[in-house]
Amino acid sequence: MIVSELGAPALAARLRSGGLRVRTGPVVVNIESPLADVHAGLALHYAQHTVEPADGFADFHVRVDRPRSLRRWIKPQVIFRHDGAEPFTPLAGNQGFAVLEWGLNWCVSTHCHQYLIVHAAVLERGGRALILPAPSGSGKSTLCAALAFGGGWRLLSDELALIDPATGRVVALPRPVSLKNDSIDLMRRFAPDAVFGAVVHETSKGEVAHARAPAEGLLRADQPALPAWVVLPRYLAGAPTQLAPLSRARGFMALVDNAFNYHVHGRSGFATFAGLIDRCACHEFSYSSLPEAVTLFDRLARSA
Amino acid sequence: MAQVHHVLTQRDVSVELGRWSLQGSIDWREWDGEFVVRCDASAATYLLSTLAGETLKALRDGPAHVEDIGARVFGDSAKPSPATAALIASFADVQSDTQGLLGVLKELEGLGLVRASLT
Repeated sequence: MIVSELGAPALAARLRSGGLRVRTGPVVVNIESPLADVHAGLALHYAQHTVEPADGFADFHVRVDRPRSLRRWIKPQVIFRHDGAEPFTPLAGNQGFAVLEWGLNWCVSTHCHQYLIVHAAVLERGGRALILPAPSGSGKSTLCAALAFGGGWRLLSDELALIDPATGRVVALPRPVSLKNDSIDLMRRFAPDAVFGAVVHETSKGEVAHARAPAEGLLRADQPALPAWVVLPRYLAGAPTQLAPLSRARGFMALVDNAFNYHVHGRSGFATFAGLIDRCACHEFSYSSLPEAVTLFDRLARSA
Repeated sequence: MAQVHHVLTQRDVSVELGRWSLQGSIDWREWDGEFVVRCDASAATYLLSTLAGETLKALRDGPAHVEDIGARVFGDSAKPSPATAALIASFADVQSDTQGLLGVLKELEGLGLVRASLT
């Protein structure tokens, strides 16, 4: 069963009591929330995700709720809970679904140590994975969205590259693509068929909106991909589209610098990244035009 | 962007007299004359220049005085790789003046990758 087959009343009932147990890639999350914007966000963005049995195993038990304080009556806030703990301070009350997404990123990046996890977007084409490691604000998600919605690439993740040390492959974690500020309208124009949720204003990151993961990414979520490219993206207003070679050693360090749990894996982490880099071409990429970027990555995929 | 470690430091007569050796377990890889190394003791990973990486690699053959390290790094140039040939061209003075190599060794020591001993 997928989420959209539940119907809105049953979805809301599960979220209010007991939880919706949903699978995304290798992760099963039990989600509870009484908040309508969280219900709407899940109905929209997770419509095609698999619903797991209520008595099955869940990796994470999370809840997005109002904090237990008087502010819930004056200026409502939302709080993210994981196993009953509150790892973050409350945020403004209109950010429920965004808080859920950020909280799930935190859950995976701080707990799924069976994978070497890099802060990176990952896409696949022809069985080969493109890893885009970069800090927030670099244009990583915008480029990822353009390639996923208009470039013929399969989305594995817009935020977390889960690298299996045993195989060197990247495991898919297809979830909504998070876009910020100018990228929201830019992507709406570039990919008018993409499904967007409501824009949330005045977050710590500015305006935030999520786009539903393309269907192909969900249908093939069980198919990992072997990395072939490591590309460091950078959006620069007015910059020409430019793909420049990057030395493998610097590509390696980019993975280390953007890794969440490299320190946890020790020598195995070093060997995993080294093996990955052995197989990959490394580049730096600067851009301001999405159509040009998509064309360039199309050529890159065809030339290899 | 990751910092390349290769800094010249001031003269230190005491370490010139000592022998240098690798410190603990080090993982490394070399691509096109650039090195990445991981020090198991500190769990830190570094990007090294060609000279720093070749210096470290020379110590795999065992502890050595700085002159011997220089000979290992620059001496066997019968069939140098392109990266090594460029290194030799760039650091031609190092063979006669060990200060450059000592500077590299001191920085590698600071990173916990090598150590000097007066033996």
